Amino acid sequence: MGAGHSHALYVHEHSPLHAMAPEVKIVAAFGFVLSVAITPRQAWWAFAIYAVIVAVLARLARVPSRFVALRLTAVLPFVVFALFIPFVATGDQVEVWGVGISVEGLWGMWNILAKALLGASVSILLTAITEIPEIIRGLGVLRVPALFTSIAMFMVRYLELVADELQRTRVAMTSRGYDPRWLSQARPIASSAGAMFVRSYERGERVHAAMVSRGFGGIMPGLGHRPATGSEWARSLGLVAACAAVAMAALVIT
Amino acid sequence: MSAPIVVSGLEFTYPDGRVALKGVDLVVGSGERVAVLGPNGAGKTTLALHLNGIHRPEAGSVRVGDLAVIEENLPEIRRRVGLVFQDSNDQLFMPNVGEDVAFGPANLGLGGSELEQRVEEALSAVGGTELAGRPSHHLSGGERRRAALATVLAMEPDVLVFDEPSSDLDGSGKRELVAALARLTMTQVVITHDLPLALELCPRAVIMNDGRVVADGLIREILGDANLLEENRLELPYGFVLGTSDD
Repeated sequence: MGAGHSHALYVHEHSPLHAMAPEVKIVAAFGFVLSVAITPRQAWWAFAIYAVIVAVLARLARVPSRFVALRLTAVLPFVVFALFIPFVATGDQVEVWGVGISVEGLWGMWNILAKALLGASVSILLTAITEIPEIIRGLGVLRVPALFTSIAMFMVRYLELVADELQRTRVAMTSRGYDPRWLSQARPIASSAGAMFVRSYERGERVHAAMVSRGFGGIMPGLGHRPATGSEWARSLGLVAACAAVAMAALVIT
Repeated sequence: MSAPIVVSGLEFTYPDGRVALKGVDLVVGSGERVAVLGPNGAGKTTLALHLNGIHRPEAGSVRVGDLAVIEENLPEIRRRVGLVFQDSNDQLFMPNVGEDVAFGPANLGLGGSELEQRVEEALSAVGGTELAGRPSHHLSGGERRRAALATVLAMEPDVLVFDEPSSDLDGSGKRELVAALARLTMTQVVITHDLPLALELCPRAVIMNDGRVVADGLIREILGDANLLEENRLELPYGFVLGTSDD
């Protein structure tokens, strides 16, 4: 179980992008994704510009393209789904090697592929240059309710422990000859999931006691992190404005 | 000066009906180091959780210095009494050690350079200044223990309460912990069934069994009483010889 290792997403570098405050990076990434999402699919040139922007950012951040490409395999299921659309969609058909392909379907495929890959790349880039706790802190600065950011923070902190416990349970089962092959053998897995839930809940209670015993009164203390500078905001919003301009141009032209 | 901790007639029942404490009396003097020994399920941890108000007494009372452990005194009680939990993973919940150490004093209202200084002092007291930037889940068992101790020291408590401080530590991890604890001068209550550790750290011991204090005295006398230990399911390690010198 390799889940939950916050460093797996991160590329350790000392680039200017790594050093920026997390909140401006989140805003930039969100603005980028929004622009990509509203760009009409016929404006292929706009998608080319977005791709160039991602490539330039990755270059500035010294994130290897191989790293991005490997991470992009996460969207593979959507890609496979998209590849089917031209064959099942209705409407005008073109014939390729004797197979009828829907023109509307082709556009649909292109739309999903371009937007999914661009959106995923920029998220990969964001997590490659910002550690997860930093992202959570950035969300806090952006006024995401403390309840959500606290839950996310604890999840990141304890996910590995829960994964470890799960692994130990599996080892304990295997060492007593448990080798599930059929659905009817799934019962122990279900009950171990239940036990895991109870254990996590109990850990939650103990963590809460530890917090309360150090004076926690319901509000996570702000620990005085460096706020984003004006020039960081300017660069971030500049990028968002550029993407929005491309999206607007695409909307007007097509 | 009044004793830092006075527990009298303390009773407590868990919501599931399990009676954990059946009238505990305990006085711990200022600067004293006391070991609380006893078998599993004796109520040791439950007692610890009363000392800074995580649990509230059902009957009887707990006082810390001149303050009773009641709702309006809780912020100050929690500053005065630091609890170091059995599983350090429960104590280290922030993204990295430095932030974890800062959590307590920040709740007390400290900030800026004052807070930074507190964190630095607490970490250096446990010999762990290099741990500040590290995420807690990448620490070794010994480092995690010392980091957990630092989170409590940063509150500048008058009393430290340890719940099984040596569990899950290897030999050298235990050595480092003992060295760190021996340097601290504040009042300490050490809950453990690691008898050699108790002997090394504490001149006085209390045995709890079945929700009551059943013995209280010099640790050498208590550990020297084989019947008393056996009655309370305690056992010195095989081959362990109680030295004769009194420190």
